[in-house]
Amino acid sequence: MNNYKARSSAGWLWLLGLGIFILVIIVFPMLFVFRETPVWVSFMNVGLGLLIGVPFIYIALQVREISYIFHADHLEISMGRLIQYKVKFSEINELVKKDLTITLWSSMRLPGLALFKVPYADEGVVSMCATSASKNILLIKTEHGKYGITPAAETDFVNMLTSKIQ
Amino acid sequence: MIFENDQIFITALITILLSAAIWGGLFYSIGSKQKIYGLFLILMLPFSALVNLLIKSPLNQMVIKVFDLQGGVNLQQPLFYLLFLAFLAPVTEEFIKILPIFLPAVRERVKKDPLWSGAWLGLGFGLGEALFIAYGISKSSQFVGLPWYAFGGYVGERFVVCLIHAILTGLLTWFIFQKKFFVGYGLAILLHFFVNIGAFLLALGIIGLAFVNILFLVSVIILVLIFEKIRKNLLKSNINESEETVYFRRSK
Repeated sequence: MNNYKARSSAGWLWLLGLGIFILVIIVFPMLFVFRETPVWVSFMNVGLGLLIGVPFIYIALQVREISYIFHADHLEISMGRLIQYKVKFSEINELVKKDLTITLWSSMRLPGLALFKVPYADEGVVSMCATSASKNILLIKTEHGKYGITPAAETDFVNMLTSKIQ
Repeated sequence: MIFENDQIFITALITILLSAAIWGGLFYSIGSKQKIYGLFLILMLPFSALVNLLIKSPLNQMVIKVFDLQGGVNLQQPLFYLLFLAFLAPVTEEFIKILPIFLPAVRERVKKDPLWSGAWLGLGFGLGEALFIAYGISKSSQFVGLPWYAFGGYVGERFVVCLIHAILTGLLTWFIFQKKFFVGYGLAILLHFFVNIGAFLLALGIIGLAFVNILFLVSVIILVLIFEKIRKNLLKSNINESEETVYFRRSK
């Protein structure tokens, strides 16, 4: 098998909930005051709600697309069109499994989900494409950066990766 | 009618649940995971009402009476009274928020993890304050007839204020267990004063709402930065490098 999926988590539900929440708090009240509010204000609010809320929902739906694919000379870490990391086997210096220590600052880190570049207290900035924010992260350290992933069939994945690296 | 507007309590309930879930969830996920913190939240709920009704209000009335003042936030008041009002909330609230650490069970927990324990105490206070302010709004004739969803400003402000209280109390308890009570208390008072100063100057008619929002945002950012700095330093001293499984390490 060359294509590994991420282990399941409820992280995507947080994003979905957040997206829906934003739509509800911004768009829902407008329905009640639509007639009394200037048209441009209504459109601006609804537009703002959609602009902020819809991307969260889109990302939530993309989380199921997370996959770790082995190619001839590199590992592809991807989440649909949003994340495409290519890690050359020859550039991998270290492969470890550990709990990362999270900070308050992050681009996209929720319980059960970590995406894009996330700063951690112990490892610095890690390019994440994982269904866990900090627990049991498989950390790939390369010359150019660190990558955090959470494959479902972890033992198989580790065996495959170590055989490719060595 | 008991309340001029009872719809605010629906908004308050949403705000309290939202703040508890989001800030509590964040604290639980990145701080130490202790079930007792849930009790901290419940324990702190009445403290805002207590400090307002039993300390702040009587103190204010006493000063008004002793100095024969009219009271209220306006430029007709003497400077000392305006300063008194500006520091009344920071001085009293920052102190009452740490009172529970005199309880042995609370003290034991705070000793082990002062930063996060304090943050949970502060969050509980913030939730209680949201309820107390909702009570104030419910009694005001200014808001008669408004539906629950018209209090969006209340939701946003109280949501952020819960975090502010959490950070301020977290900082104070951290300083207390560093044996620097006066430094921590002084810092908490100054930061609280800084957070409140925009709204205070707005009430005096000195600055506009836009500037108030900027000041508020800046003060929140400063608070989060200070809290994060302390938290990061604590983490660095606690990180155990050995807890990892090495599958591969390239020999150099």
